[in-house]
Amino acid sequence: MGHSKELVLVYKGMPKVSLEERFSIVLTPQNYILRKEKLPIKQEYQSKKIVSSIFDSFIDNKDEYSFFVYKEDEDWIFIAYKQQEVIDLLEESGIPSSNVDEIFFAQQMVSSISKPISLGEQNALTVIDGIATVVPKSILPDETVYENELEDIHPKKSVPLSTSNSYIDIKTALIFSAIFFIFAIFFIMEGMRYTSSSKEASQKVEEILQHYPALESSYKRESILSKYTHIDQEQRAKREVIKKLSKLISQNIKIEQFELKQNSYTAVLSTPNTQLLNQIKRKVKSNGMQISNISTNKITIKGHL
Amino acid sequence: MINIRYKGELILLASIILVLSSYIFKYKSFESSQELLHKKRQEIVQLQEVISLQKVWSPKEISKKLENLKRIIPSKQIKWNKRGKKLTVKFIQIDSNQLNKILNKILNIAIQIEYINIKKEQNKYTMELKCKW
Repeated sequence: MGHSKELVLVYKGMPKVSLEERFSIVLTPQNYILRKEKLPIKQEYQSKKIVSSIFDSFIDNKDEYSFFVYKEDEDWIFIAYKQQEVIDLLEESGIPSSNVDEIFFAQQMVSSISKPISLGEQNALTVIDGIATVVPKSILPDETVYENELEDIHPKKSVPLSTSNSYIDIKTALIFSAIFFIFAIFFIMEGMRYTSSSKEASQKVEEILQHYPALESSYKRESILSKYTHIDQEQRAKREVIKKLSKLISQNIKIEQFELKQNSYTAVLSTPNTQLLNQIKRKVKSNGMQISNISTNKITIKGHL
Repeated sequence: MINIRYKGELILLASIILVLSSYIFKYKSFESSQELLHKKRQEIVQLQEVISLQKVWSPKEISKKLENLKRIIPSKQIKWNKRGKKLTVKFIQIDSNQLNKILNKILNIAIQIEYINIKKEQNKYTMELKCKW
């Protein structure tokens, strides 16, 4: 991030300022607690793990505090501050907190504070033993020349000003939102795929109807279907009966009579060899037909379609 | 930039609403597409059934195919009465081979058989057929 934004030093009792553009703020020790420690820690993530315990005996309600850690030469600087306190201070000073991009701490700028900086009529920001400190002007020599502004030097590290009271920080919310967004995209794509698959079936129906426009009406289709299904079933049954009877006929078994009506049929088979009668009976039964009468050399078969 | 309290929660809520809405969209699309797909598939099956039944039972050139029956049997043994799409025919004094040929023929022509009467008189057969198409 380029640090080109204006730096505003904020302190208690500061005069109201009007700023329209986005800017960064520098907090004075009025708004933070600082501890400078020499610790055998090399990495910043390790220092972040212990930051809360560093302030154990200094602050009671740790949940209200935010923490900031950085390394200054050989020392680790631990800073605890209240976001809400900063927001309140900005409101009192007429500064819209939504315009604040980053927070810096006066301690980060100790090297650039060569002269005390005036913080209103009563106090001044100065450096004592390498620590940025707010002191009453009354304890400073009368001939002290005060600076009115900080040098426009932006330290490397900063913290964002969280203007919301969220239980979920923005970063976490954005990570989850991104995941949900990906899921949403998948769901939408899948939904669209389902819609297009049903369109394909509709297109196929349209194609068929283009070749057979007479079948467009479903009533007509059903009427045709019912008519031809009836014909189909009836005619298949009639043909089946004829085929079954054909199988029964041989050189010694002749057909004497066959009558096929709309719903029924009658067939009379004869054989000169009476011993074949039992064979005919078995064949008739195995073909699912019923014998209605048996005489000496004739068998009458009757059935319904 | 508007200063919004509970910004994190709002972002999360908006994304949850988005994902839920898209899931509902997917679910509804699935439901309606399945319903439509089922309906259209049924329509296709019905259309194919109607078309194939129509092709089977309303074929062209039935008359021509029936005329071929006259080639199997000498004309003096046939009483042919065709009116429009209806035929009544009587085959007289035919032998069992001729009877078989006639039956095989009519079984393979898509006519609607209304009535068949076969009678054996000594060694010859008389067959009456009523059909339409």
